[in-house]
Amino acid sequence: MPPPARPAVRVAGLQHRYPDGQDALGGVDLQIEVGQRVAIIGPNGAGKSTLLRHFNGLLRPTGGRLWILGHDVIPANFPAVRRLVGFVFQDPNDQLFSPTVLEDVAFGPLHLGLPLANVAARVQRALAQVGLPGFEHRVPQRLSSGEKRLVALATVLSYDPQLLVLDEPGTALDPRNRRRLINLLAALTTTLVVATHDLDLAWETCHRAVVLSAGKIAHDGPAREILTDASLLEQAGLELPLRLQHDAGKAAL
Amino acid sequence: MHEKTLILTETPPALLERLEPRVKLICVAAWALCIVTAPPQRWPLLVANVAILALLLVTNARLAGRFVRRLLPALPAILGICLFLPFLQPGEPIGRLGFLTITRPGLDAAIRVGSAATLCLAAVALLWASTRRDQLLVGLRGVGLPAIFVGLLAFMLRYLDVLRPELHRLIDARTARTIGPRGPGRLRSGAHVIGVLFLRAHDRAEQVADAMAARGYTGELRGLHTPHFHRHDILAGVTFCGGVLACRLTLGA
Repeated sequence: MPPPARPAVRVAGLQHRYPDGQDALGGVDLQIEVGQRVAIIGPNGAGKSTLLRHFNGLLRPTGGRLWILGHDVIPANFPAVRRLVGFVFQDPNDQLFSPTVLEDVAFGPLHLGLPLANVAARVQRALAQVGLPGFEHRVPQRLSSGEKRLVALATVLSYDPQLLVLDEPGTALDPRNRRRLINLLAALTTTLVVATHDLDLAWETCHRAVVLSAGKIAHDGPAREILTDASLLEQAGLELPLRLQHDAGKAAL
Repeated sequence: MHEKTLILTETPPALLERLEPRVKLICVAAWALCIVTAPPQRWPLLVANVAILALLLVTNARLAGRFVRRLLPALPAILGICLFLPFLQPGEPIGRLGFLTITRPGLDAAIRVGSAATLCLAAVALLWASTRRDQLLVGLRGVGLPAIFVGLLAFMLRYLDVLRPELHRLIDARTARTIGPRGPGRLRSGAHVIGVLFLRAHDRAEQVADAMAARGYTGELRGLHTPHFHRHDILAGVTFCGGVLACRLTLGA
């Protein structure tokens, strides 16, 4: 009998209180299986980013525990956990801190102990994957917002994480770059967790939606059910995806 | 836009740029040691050191602009110190400037300190102009500097790049809301900009540190290029160190 599959993410009673006393997470229980594509949706301040930052130990829980692919997320396991989790920050300017794109994309493989001989090839492959081949010697600060976002994604794709975590990936993107990003995310086969209030992006890239409200999970289910439930979304401070609003408008006409 | 972080060119590298960073660091240290241990009033030795600097600049002419840009900001500090020395050292008076007496030992000290400090700074400026930042950091580790020191230096350099665009954004925001800023109001708003920059810098530094930690950074920066000594590196290093040491021993005996 095969051993039971380890979930990609297992969160049990996760709580987080910031030093100023603000309770950001009030006991979150969540399990994400390997290969699932999950959108964590909710209004600003719902606790989405706080939840994601626990996935690779950037924030420590003030209560509860979590495991990533069977690894307890505790300081002793941070190197192993960070090798498994590719975390793309909300603001790509935080993620891109090196003088060249090459160094930024190589940063993960170099510091996660991957073989030095493969690093250059990994950089080339990751940049090709996001559609920016030949950008190695560009200066990150001089890229457009869309290019920065894609390079930020390449900085984690370069070390082949088994869990890809994206915090508001669609922010500040023009329609063409947003489409490019959606197509790219849709084509990835890795386990994906996307925190967003861009419900159209969630609709196109995720199969499951978890609604976070005031630091707690309010709803959890198939994305197509949650994202079409106008009253549920309204209760959570959200709206139907624009594409559905558009369809509803056309039907009304 | 005020981005001047890096200028990438296709022209072949200068001789000094091709030299292994550890060799350059050792050469600079040896040269600085010979300069600061020179006895006073050994003018031929001073001329020889200036000639060495001139020779290096002539053979690496494409570095001249970068060298000057790195050296010039430091010169006023040396000048400031040297201007006071002729009046502060007791000894034989050789002239007066108002109510201040210029002494011979003071003037000698000013010339000695000024020339030694300028030459040492020139050596460092040439090293900086000819060595990429990541190579310099790897070189510093390679010559045995503690990892914590090199790590702090690396962070400082990275944050300078992060802060520069932030400062320019703040200045642009101020300029966009100001008509002909003059008088004390300009100073006040300048102080506000510095205060806000400090707060933003703190916030941004935390984000960048998180982004680095998320990709495996644990305190030691790793570069893409592992430096290797070549025969020409060793030859150049031995020739240079031997040359400056010979000058020091013969002309500065």
